[in-house]
Amino acid sequence: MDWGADLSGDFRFSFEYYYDHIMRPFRKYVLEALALIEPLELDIVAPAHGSVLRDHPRRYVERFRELATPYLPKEQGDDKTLLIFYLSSYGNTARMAEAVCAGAEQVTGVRVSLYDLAGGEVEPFMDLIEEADGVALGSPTINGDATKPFWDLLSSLVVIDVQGKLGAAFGSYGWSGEAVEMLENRLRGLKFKVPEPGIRVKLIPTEEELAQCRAFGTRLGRILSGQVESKVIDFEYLV
Amino acid sequence: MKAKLKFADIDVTVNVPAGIRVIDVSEKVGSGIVYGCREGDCGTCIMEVLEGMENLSVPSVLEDKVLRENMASKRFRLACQAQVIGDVAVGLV
Repeated sequence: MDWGADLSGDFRFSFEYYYDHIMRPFRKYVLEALALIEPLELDIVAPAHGSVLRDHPRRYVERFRELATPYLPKEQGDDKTLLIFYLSSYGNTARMAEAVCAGAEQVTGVRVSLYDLAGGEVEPFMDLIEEADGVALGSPTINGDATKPFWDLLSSLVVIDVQGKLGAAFGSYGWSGEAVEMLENRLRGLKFKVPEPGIRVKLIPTEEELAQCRAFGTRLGRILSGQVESKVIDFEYLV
Repeated sequence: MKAKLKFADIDVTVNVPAGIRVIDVSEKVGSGIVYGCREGDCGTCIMEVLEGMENLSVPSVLEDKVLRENMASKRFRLACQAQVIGDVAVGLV
């Protein structure tokens, strides 16, 4: 009998869909469980959920191992990774992104990558974000909102584990500039840590504002590499 | 009266006016505590109290119920409910 057909037709699609949408955020535990199951002699796989797998049960275990193994594994050893995504209408947020990138690259032990979200699909970034230590999102504010590719990106992250990763936002705006705070709140909702207040720049960033973006990038890099000094601040400073 | 409220996840200590709720500080400093309903009902913002449990307000009947429903141990409180009365250190669950 063919792979996946078992005794109830071909359900490979459902098997993979279940991993991608239900198990993937818990990949760490999947790998731990596989390590326990793989040494066993298998006659049958009878999960608490879903079909009983009688035909070549070992193949399902092997396929789960393939699915749970990172598609784009870390290749930089102990270095921390920061992914900077940006979208820019007039080049302003792009210049901010480049400055944030340059600032983060100053930090030893941090690898920074810069991605323009314009015109692209967000799906391919899932594998990268899953393995990254932090993301910084740079969106302009258009009609009082962050731009659609960022909402597409953020709404896709529910299928991977992002808890505790570093998150940050920045962007240029013309009138009200809500995008940065909206992105920060969504990142927090996804359980990213957002320790550095984002940077908003009105229209074209000045040299001084670009320097602030570089310093912002450097602070993000330092947080990723664990070089954070404990801070004491007054509540009045926050309000 | 002032109190020290420390967020261990970001290693930030804030000098706060006594009586303030943790929720009113944590998001402003960028701590990773996550909120849901913000009114003591959903249990999303359960946090671990690392030091100074006695320096938080006594849990209300509602908070107590939510903590029990979430099988939270005695070290845990709801960040949207707990008021800071003296020095406290809190962390993520």
